[in-house]
Amino acid sequence: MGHPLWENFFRHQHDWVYRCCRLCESSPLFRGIPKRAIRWLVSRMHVRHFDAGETVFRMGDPGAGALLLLSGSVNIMINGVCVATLHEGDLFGEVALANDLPRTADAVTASPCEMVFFLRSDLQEWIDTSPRQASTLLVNLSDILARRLMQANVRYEQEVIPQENSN
Amino acid sequence: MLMRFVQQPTVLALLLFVTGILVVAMVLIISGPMLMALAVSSMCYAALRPTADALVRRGLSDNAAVAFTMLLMTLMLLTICLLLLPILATQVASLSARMGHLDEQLIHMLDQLADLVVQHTGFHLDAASIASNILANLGEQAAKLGDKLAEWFHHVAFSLVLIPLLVFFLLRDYHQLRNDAMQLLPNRYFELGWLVYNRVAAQLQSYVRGLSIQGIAMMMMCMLGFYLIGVDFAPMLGVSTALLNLIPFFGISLAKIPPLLVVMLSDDPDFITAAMALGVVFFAQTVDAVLLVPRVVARSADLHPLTVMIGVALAGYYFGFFGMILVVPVMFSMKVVFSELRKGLHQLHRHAE
Repeated sequence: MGHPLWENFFRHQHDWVYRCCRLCESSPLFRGIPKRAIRWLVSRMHVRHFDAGETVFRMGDPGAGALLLLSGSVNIMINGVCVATLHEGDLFGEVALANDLPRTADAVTASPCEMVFFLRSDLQEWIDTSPRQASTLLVNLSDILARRLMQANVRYEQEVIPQENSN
Repeated sequence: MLMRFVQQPTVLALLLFVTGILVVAMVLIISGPMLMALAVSSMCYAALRPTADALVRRGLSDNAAVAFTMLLMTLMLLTICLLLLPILATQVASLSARMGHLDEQLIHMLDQLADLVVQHTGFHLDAASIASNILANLGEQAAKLGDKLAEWFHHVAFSLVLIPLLVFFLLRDYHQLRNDAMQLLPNRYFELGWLVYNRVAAQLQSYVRGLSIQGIAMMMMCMLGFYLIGVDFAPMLGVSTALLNLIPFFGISLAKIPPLLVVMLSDDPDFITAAMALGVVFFAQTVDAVLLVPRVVARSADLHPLTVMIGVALAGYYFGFFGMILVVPVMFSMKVVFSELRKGLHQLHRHAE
């Protein structure tokens, strides 16, 4: 952990900031946002390290923000069933960026992980500072969430309705 | 059995809360000599942060925005000092010259009051003995105040060097310092920690904003009222009345003392002006109680009156005047931190089951 007062005189950029900027630039959430703005935003994010098998969050937990996976892999589970495995560069828990709704699934690390928290409070601060650029991110976020809703609807139509009809 | 008891959200919240208070108390004891500088720097930071943010919004880098804000603050302080110091010096000189005639003026005013009482009730008042009692008491208090003021000015001189440096580093590095402190939380409680911090910060901001609106409104009303009825030093009295009025319960009475003293020290002290000065304070306090407190302060600071009374009395005994003003924000912060911590831990505990 760096010491900010000392770093004022010998300030250096952390390695994870570069990696995170690169991953954000290729993420759909940050599409259309200038590199400089991404760097500013990433410098306000929070890096955390998790061991293999550690719970990142549980379904129903209050969510403070989204997470970007810098390294390792994470299993997304619902009622103990793994529904997706995420890898380096994947973003998850974006719903918490929009509102303080509870988490909709469990997230458990499958290997030692390094991930970055992008908190709703940081996003709010960015909205206050640069409303025009932040609105681009909010449009991207709504686009991601709308697509996910459509996918869920399609899955419901294809998997749940036929099952109910056959019963 | 003991572990299960300790893991209950309320017990865990209480343990964390008490540990937090002990840590804060330890930090306060260690930083005792710098406490005033730290408090003023935090207030300056809160006042200057919006300016620095506005400059960042206009395209300046973080460092340039901080440097420009500090430059603005220094220029403003210099200008205020250059403009205010001569006026303040004249006012203090005139006030201290009048202090020499305090006994005569007090007797003169009490004589007027005695005449009024005799005319209307027939009851006789001994103005000279009442005045000598009040003056003896005032002299004792003034001697104590003089010692405290000397100590306070020593602190101010020390703080004047420290405050600009602290404000500069706070403006530049507060976010980093806060983030580093939050990094100490374990993974499981990292998100919860941020949620609690954000909720507490939002509630405190709204409370402090409410208090500032209340203080400024009181100051303006009193200043205008004193100016209209012709009381000397109206701006200075407006500020002191607003500050004293911030003290819960006791402030209502304390706020009436400075205008009364100034009327007594004026060239021609009379009972009618004193009553009008009291009327101005009473009017401002009524507006404050009816309009300001319910709308901007009470909604955010939901504390029981008995808790506030005991808190104010104890803070006044241990920490003096500033303790009495600061006790409600401190008690309110403690309440918010504890309730948010308990709420968050309850949520985590419920979902873990």
